[in-house]
Amino acid sequence: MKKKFLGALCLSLALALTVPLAACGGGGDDLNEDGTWWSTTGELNKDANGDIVFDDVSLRMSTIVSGVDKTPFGDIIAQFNAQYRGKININVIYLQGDNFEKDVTMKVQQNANNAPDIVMLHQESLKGFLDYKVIQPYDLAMEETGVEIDLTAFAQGVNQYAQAGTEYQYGVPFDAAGMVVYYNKDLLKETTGSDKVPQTRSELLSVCKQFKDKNSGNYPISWEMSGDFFCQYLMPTAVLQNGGYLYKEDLYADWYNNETQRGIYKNAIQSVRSYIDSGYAKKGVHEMAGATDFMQNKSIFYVTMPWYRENIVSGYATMNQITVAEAEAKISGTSVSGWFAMENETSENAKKIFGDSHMFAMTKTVKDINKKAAVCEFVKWFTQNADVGAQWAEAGHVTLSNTIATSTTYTENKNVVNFINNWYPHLDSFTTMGITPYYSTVSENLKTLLSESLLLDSPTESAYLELIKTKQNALNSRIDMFKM
Amino acid sequence: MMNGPKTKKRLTKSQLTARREKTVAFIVLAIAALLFVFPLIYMLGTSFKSDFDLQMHPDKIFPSPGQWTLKHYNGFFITHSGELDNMPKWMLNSIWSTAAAVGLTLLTDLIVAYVVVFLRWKGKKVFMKALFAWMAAPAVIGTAPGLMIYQTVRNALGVSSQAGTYALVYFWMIVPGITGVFNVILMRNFFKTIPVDIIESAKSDGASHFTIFRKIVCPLAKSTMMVIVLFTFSASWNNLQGPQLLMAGEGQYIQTITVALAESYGGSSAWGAQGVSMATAVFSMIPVLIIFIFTQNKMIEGLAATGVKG
Amino acid sequence: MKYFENSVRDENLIARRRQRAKEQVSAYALLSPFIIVFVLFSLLPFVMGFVYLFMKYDPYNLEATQFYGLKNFETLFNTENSMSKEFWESFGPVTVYALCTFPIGTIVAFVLAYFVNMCPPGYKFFRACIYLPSLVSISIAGIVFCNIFGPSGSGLLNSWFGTNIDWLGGKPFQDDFLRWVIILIVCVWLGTGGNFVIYAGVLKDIPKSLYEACEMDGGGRWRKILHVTLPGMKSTLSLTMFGVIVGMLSLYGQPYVLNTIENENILVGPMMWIQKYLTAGLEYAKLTGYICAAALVLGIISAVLGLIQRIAMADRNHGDKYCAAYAKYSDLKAQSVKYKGGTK
Repeated sequence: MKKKFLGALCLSLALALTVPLAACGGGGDDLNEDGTWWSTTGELNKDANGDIVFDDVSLRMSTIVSGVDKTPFGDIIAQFNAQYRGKININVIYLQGDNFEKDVTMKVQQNANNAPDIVMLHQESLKGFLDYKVIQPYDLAMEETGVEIDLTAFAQGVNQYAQAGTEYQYGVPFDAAGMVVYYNKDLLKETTGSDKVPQTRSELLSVCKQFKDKNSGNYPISWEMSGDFFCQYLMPTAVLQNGGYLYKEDLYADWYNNETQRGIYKNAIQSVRSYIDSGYAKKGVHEMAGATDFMQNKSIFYVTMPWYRENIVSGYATMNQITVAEAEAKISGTSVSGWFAMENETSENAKKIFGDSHMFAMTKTVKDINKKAAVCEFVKWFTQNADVGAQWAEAGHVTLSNTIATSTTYTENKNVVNFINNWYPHLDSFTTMGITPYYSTVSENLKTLLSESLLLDSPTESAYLELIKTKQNALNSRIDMFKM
Repeated sequence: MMNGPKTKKRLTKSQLTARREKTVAFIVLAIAALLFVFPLIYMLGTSFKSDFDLQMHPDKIFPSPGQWTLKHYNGFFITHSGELDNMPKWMLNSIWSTAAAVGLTLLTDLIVAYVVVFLRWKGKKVFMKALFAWMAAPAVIGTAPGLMIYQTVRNALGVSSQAGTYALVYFWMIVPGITGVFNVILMRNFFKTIPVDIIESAKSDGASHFTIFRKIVCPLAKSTMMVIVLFTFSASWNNLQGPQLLMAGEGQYIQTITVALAESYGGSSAWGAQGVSMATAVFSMIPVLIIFIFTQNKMIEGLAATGVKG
Repeated sequence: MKYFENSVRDENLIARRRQRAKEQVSAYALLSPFIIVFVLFSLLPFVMGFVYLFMKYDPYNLEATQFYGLKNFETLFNTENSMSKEFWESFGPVTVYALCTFPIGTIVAFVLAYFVNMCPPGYKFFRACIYLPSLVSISIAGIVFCNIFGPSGSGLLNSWFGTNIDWLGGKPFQDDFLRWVIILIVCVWLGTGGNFVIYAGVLKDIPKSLYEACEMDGGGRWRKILHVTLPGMKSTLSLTMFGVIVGMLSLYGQPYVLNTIENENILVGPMMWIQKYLTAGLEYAKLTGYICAAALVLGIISAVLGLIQRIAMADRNHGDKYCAAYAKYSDLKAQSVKYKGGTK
């Protein structure tokens, strides 16, 4: 009896060992001789005039878009499919969070027949996809097909990362989103007597003081610390505005070890904390409470995400029993630019805002040149078409494409005028995570550094420094772990 | 019968104690029942509160007069673009997958237990020993590789369509659970208590195993079957971890109710969604409630009858 | 004559052998689906997990797979390492919680079952009420209890009493005592139903004669419970407690849904650690072997704890003389049933 048992065990062991080996054979890398992993086959279909003809090309896109953004994005894709009916059709798959990267990587590496052709990723994922050889150079494909756009005509703050440190450009960065501010026009005017919106930190502090003197029970700034992106976006923003950087060239952090950085990170924390300590903003606010205060005219500024614009305006209208149009006239947007710069308020650094940016990239499974042309055609349509830019901006995403940003359709759109352009006044200063495969650990440590500092009961300098040191070491040791 | 004046019967001491016991029991149970059901009542009441009431009066269990609304239940079926919204899909997913899990598990347990108890074959002891050993094994180390196998199979099959993905994910979700060893052992223990004589007499009457199975063993096993149905039902319906792993990264259409609710409303709740989250919770409990109301007596009696003796 | 009898006997032998062979084949045939599914979905991943333990395995970069020996375990037990530190630290909260509270779940279920057993008026209704929450899923429980214990703007308790107690916040071993109280409440709320009903059933089966025997020896209520009720339920109690302990070590759902921003990222249980890194981003993929090693360790620890508990509650001579007598009595009864060929 025992023998049979052992026999069965050995059999399953053998089976188990074969699986990874078999998978090896199935996927694996088909590297070219020169070490590249992409190729082109076939010939372009052209008509008599030499223009490209698309004959029912079917493309698959995996996107990281989710939540509130899904409907506007789906609408835009539907528009494209309608406009290119019979020529190009795009099928979109919405994936979430961490599984986006893993799903795309696995499918592309296994050459699955449902692998995506286009990926719409966050800029931060670029390095990971590159390391796992998931994507191919966009500029090369563009040149081969002749469906070209100017790859330099995008906001520099983000476009600098599109090459991921190589000689080719892999991604096309077309939009951005960070923390934004909504403000109550009437309340501002009441407080300061003028329509002028504060541009620097000292101006903001003075407005807050004036408000607090008149309404000691209320807080001029509302925000929700438990919001998804609050600490995640604000901490890097504060660091950048104080002239710091997130990690060194070797990808490790020196937030504590480098003296200048230490001072900068301390200032960054203090700059956010100072609003709480001066009584201008509440601490530890639960979701929804900030919105309520703003809608009840208890605060001038409300710091939150750009894609809630519609909800906020209509919620304000309901709460104050006016129409949506009237509400739109009472609320406008301003940016967090300059809010956290403790010194050098008017420097270039003070203008920086940190957030996420979406990019389009072509996966390596696209080999047929007609498919490549179709992908380029779509990217061109999305990044040069002003209508699309305006639509996507209404969903809360500012365009990074110079072409769209300068067109009249875009610049005259009322939401662009009232909100988008005010939210991101200096597009070239908008920055994202950059090129590191460990971005999620960097992000998590920055986020918890801020959230824990803000929740401290006794905020002393040494407490902040302790936290900075802890988080820096946590990040560095985790990177060691990955390199193991 | 003599209808004399009614004399008060004097209760015996044990009858008095019994009555006192019952009063104490009644009070304790009433309080316990109230505490247990209270959160559910709160859930029901809050789901009908209007947004205004939610913000102004968080301390009330039921909406103030004039603030009752069905608004939170509104978005369940049709979204503004006319498509079928997700709630019914999630509900259907949970319902049919749980039904399949329960049915298949029951069938498997009956068959396996019957084979183990009533058939004679070599290797029976090894088989039973293996089952018991498996109960002690830390199955948790199989989660990561299980996921890898699933991914590899999926890519090997080249599943691309929504329908294909759906079929594969649910197959992988339901089938592994069917071999739950605890239920097999439960059923086997019950079968062992069936007196051998009945089986012998049926055999000597010329009945095949199949007839014995169908006509004698199965009807006897009704109470154990109920127990297994109940266990499997709640385990499958409320399963969060396993399905969450499998469904990670897929579209929302594929989720079961439990996974969908946990992801949308777990922890610090979503923006302005208190009323909606309560309404979805109430809505998702409706099938459970229906089954419960119709079978609660029988199931609880059945559960009590087997008494899971060690 | 002899030859005739022999041949008849031989025929019977052959017939029986044939039938046995048929049974053998049918047995394997009927069991095959079960076995196949079991091997494929339970055994195979388990074995593979074992194999990965000794390898550095990156599912997205299979070429980099190499044999690693015991290195994964070295890393795991190296408490300097940040991830290992997180893993071992996550055991802390869960273990303390399990030790302090596993009796509570059992006691609550037992007490309620005891009272129901007295059959006061309306007991069927109460029984249903107590059982109902155990059918609720953890996500719903999370939503409801988050709102009951939420902050003063939206939480029920806080607005009733005008307080602003932060029930769900705090960090492990510092100030999150209240959070664990709530986790306990939810665990009891969800878990009592099943055990309660099982106990109620077992209680019913304890024959009244044993109670009467105890009474005649002069036993009051407490003696009756200690010497008749509890021993009578011993094996059931043991089995359910085993379930409770093992379940608590694998605590996942409750902390996942009951948290605030302060502690939503802190992993308070090893199961949460495993789940988090299994579903984390691309850069964690190369650590799959290491995560499997952690899972194995968790499994072993659970098994050991469970074993300890079972041994501690195994049958020992306690002076439960009523139960010994009952055991003898029921043995006799079973024997008589067998001989008479009657049904239960």
